[in-house]
Amino acid sequence: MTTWTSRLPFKSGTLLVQLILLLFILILFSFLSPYFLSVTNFMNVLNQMVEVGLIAIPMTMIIISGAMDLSVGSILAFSAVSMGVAFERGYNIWVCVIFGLLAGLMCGAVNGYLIARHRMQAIVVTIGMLVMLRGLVYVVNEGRPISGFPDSFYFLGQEYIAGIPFNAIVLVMMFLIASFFMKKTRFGTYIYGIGNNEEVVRFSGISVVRVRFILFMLSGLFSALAGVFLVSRLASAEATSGTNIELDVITATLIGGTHIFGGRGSLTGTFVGLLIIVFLRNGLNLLGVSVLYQAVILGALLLLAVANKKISGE
Amino acid sequence: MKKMTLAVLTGVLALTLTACSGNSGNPPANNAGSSSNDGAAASGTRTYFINPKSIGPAYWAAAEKGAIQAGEDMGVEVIFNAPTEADSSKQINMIQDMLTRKVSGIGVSPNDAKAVGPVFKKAAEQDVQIVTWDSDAPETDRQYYVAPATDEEVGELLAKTIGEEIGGEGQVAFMVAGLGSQNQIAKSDAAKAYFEANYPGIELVTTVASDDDQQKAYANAQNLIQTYPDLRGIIGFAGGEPPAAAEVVEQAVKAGTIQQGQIAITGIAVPSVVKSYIESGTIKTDIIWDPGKLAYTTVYILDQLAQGNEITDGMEIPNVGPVTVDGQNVFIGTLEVTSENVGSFDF
Repeated sequence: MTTWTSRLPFKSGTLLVQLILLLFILILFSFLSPYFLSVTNFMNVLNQMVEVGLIAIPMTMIIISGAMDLSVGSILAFSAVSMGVAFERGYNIWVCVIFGLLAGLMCGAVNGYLIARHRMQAIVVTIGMLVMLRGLVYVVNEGRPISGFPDSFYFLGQEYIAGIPFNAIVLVMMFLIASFFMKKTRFGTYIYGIGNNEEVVRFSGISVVRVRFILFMLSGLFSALAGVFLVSRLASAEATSGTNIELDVITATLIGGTHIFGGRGSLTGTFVGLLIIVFLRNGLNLLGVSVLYQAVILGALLLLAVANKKISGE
Repeated sequence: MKKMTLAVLTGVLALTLTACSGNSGNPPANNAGSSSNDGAAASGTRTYFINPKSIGPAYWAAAEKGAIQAGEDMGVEVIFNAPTEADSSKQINMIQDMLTRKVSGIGVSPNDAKAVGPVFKKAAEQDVQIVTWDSDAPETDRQYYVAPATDEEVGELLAKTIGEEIGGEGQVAFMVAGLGSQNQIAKSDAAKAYFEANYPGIELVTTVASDDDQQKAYANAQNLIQTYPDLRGIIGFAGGEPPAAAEVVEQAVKAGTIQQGQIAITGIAVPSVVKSYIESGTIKTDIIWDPGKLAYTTVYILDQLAQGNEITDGMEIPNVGPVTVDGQNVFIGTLEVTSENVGSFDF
């Protein structure tokens, strides 16, 4: 990085690259497609990014703490289908939503218990949960999609307030709250600390087990919340929902500058990373570019983000 | 907090930018017409979005050829695209994006019949023509469903084929792609009912599912011939099942576990995939339809609807032939692949 960037309000300068990239994508597609730069399209994009965005919040925290949660997509499906099955049994829809959230929280607790308490490898545990929960989903609903929810429930994923999708408002609020917690509370400091040097944090008398446990619980809860919003948006709870969503989530987090080995990263970066991948995908869709090329471009971006960190001497 | 504020500011700025452009170009249709950037709408070319369940499988690749061909023949623009995995949420995002692009019509093979409801409703409000193909979404705003034949007809045809081959007597097993998939359930139920009505001597021993996984289909077939040594027939209800069954049976014959011709196999499979098994006689008859013609018909129907023409029973579709129209269903018919004609298919 040259000297002039140091005068800008970015201390490390890492986010600057991402913001320039985002702006570049926005401008490029505005020229390429006459439909890109419109309120309807932007609101559509916001509406579509909510599920990945919600899960990206705890994912960023977990990656900063030096771990990884690959089971989020399966937790999403498990919560969505639990909610649907409860609804089919005749419970009130909002009771079912709480039921779905509890299911997610429980899955997160299992992850947290095994990883934090028994010090098992996070990647191994969450891959196990990924496979097992996906199997359970098929057992629970026999592979059949569940639909027919009441109209009041579709408010969550389909309604607009003052022209802005309700679920996008929730997402932004969540990001602001979580960002505040990461920066202004001791809990946030512990997360960075664990990612940098777990031993030091432990010897400072802080319960690493508790912090990790809470993080995985959060991840379960947010995955479940994403599941609820997804069901509301699609009006259907199906066994395949959330498949491979962890890849999108982790891609957004890494493009946003979070270090895969932990210790460094920010929710702001993740939010920008998220905007980059959703706008890129939307723009390419509008141009009618085949998904096969889209995958190549997205992968190249990820490499670019990583290379940029290496070159700037991190 | 500083960075967060900045990010939010950037977002607001971007939105303001769009709001400005939106105001200057109201109503958007006029804007599109006058803009030189917009080649498609300005020259009056109609654009159709043809959306399979996913991109990758040979079946959809064959459909793409047909859709593109139709676009060239009719002088319309065809965009053929889908997510790489059969994922409902990604599919719907893509349809939404295409509605933003103001396409004239969408031809969708829905991954989830219910989940496409809201997005179809939105499309109908924008006067976009909606046709489902290969897989239906009843109880939505779709205008027509393009299919080879009803699931019941295909199921009965398969049951009849295997019944004749094994002389109406013995154990038969079903291999399906997914136990939860509506078109698989409908086909296998129809085949079962046909056995009960016409071949009381045939016993359906089991139904196994591969979840569209080729390796699993292969393992399922191996388990079948292990578990049921007296098995006489196998019906594969999806593209991956008959070749897996045929491969396992050929290997078992070679190993001497079963007699040549003891197990008859039929099912739905693309000719190129089962060609060698049909030539060797392991599969006598295979049922298929041309996915390219299915996609071609979809584009044709969409274009007729966009021009305000009626869809009538027996109407002749160029390169496809006459189609049966029953209510909101358009059927193009099935093909029987045997050792005599297997070389004549190019898909």
